[in-house]
Amino acid sequence: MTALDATARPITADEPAAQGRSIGVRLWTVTAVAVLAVLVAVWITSSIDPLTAVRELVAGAVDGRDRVSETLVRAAPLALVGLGAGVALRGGVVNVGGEGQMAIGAVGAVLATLALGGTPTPLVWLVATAAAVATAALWSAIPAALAAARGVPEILSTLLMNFVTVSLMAWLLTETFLHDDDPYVITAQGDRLADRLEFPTIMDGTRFHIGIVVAIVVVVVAAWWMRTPAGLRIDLFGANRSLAAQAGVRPRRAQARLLLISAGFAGCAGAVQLFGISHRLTPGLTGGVG
Amino acid sequence: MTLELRGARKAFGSVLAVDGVDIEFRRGEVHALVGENGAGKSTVVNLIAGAHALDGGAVYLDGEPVGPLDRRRALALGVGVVHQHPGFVDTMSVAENVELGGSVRRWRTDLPGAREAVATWAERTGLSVSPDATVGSLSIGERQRAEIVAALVWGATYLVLDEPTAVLSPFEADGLLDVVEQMAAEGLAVVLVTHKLREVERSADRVTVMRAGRVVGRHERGAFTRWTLADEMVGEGEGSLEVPPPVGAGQTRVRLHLDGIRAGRLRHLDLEIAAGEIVGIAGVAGNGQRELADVATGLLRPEVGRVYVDGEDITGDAASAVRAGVAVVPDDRDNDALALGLPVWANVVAKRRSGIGGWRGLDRTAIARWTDAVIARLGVRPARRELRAGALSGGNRQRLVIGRELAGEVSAVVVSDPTRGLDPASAAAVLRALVMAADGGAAVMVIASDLDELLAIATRVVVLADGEVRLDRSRGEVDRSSVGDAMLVVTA
Repeated sequence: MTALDATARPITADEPAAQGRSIGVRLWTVTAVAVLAVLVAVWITSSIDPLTAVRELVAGAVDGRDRVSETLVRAAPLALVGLGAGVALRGGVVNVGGEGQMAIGAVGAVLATLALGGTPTPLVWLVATAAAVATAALWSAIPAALAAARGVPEILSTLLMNFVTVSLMAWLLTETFLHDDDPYVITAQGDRLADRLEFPTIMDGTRFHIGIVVAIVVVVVAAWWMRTPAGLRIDLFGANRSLAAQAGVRPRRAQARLLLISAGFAGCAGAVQLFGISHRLTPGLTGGVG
Repeated sequence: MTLELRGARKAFGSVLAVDGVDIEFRRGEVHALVGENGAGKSTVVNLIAGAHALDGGAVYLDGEPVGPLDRRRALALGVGVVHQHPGFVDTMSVAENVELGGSVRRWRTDLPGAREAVATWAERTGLSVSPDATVGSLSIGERQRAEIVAALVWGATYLVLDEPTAVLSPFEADGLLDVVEQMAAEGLAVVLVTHKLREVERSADRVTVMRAGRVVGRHERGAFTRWTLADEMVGEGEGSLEVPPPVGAGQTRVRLHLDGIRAGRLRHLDLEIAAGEIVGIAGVAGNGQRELADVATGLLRPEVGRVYVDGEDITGDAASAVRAGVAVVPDDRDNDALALGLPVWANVVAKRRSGIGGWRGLDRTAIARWTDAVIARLGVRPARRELRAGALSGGNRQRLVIGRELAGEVSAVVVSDPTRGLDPASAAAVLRALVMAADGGAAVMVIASDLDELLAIATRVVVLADGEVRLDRSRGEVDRSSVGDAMLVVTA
């Protein structure tokens, strides 16, 4: 997320950082040399030309319409979940529960579609996405409340909530009304969405759906937002909570808010993935992006 | 038996921290290195300790060039540094810490050997250090003694003490200086990096004065006084050390009112501060000063009582306090007042809720204007908006904090130990700014452990003891000893 690093640009001249940097540089050098050594060893001992491999790697991602679109399809949820984690991290809040929040967001979106029935499609998308954001935020209110009331580190609680979510999804998709209506389906999966609710694809023959455009817009807006005074306040909160408190920020509230916002992005990813790709709830909907 | 820097030069980015410095440390001497914050003292120390590489010049041991230094080589040459902020691992014992640092180049540890070495050196120097004490349980003075002993165990013959007395009580500080003199008498070279010119006068055999990265004075014992040193440190035309007395309380309009406060160790407190008043809060540390500062600035909600600024209730509400124009200068500025990782400009606008931009983004022009005004008013150096706050020296950090807090409309000022650790020029600049704020109509509360500083600018003195106001008099009615007596009244 280099776009997000732009506001608070660190500057060169200073003593402690210079020391830290030299250690950092050394670490990078050691790592790079080690990796390079292994690569060279593999190159020498195998008959495959490494340049071919690299070429294939790049080509696999960007060669041709199909592959470019598929790269974007995979990147969209990653970008949204990562954005959520990144925004929180700027404020010193570590949300590693993106995976679970994304899944629960998708559940929220499905519930919204069921509730809305025959409402016009764009409105369903809008409301369902909002529902996904809200559900994910609500889900993260559990670790947020634990942190505020008991000082439970959110890095642990959000991580562990992922496992809770996996079990919850398995139960929802086998034992409840969310389970597929088809009597022959015994695995954990939900009903297929109505065809009209699938995000239309923009390029024929690919999976490049409008959700990807949504994701890109959200990323741009968020990057912009981080460069406003609001973003600066998040940076300040992350850099020094005492100072932020003097400026009138209530630390517990701010932390909870960041966690909820962060989860909201993950929930949005859930909706995008649901309407764009999976078209039904499945345990694997998140694709391991967390 | 000397360690020398010749023609030493070190730049950080475009800032030349050390510019052609020649300095010689001799065994058997206490060598004081003095200068303002940012004069380059710490950089000199880091150069001989191998923490920074020289950009120019060289290090000589007994007249022979020693080549480039790193920390390990510097240690092997006998350079040991005890930093201002202790670096030991809290959960380990003193001996374990000593072994942790000393065993780096060995295959196995020798804890009994470390314990014995600590005990031996503690005995030789008269520094009372128990090898088995857990570092976390030690007072700051004890930790410092432990680190000095550790440096000696690791073979330091050139022992550098960076601001060693800044964290000590006057009594402890005297004891430490006794030890320092004795160590020098036994053949060690002791380098004292300090602001406290009284201590230099007392203990130093030789003084090097630095200013702006250069050596501006070299003196031997007897050829200097603390006053000549202060003049040299500040330089001519660099702003004076004078602090004009405040005009004083001509006004009676109460701006800060603490009404029946009970919070933590603060048992009961009523205090009204009028516009133009500077109320000095004296007292032995731990008598509720911290609570007082936090309550007065809305950071802490008292168990009982209310806080009013210009009649508006700000109790337990920092946001209202900021809006009401309450300025806060905490005692721990690095941890509580500055975001060291963010640039100077971000620190300057940290508390502003408006005027720094909107949804279109940050208003860089307005921010630059604000920042430049703060930098110019308090003389922050280097005057660069984009510099990380952490890259500023201690004195400049405090100038930055004071500048931020006193910019704009200020109704009340609550400052804790505003000049601690500052060089004379920075201290004077900070005190002048406080006097100006009072003369401009603000109610000023100065909570300080340093009585001299307090008496220098206060128009009224309040002594806190046992969580209550023990004494409340105007400045003219008290002197150093009457305040001191009130502080020390013992209660059952």
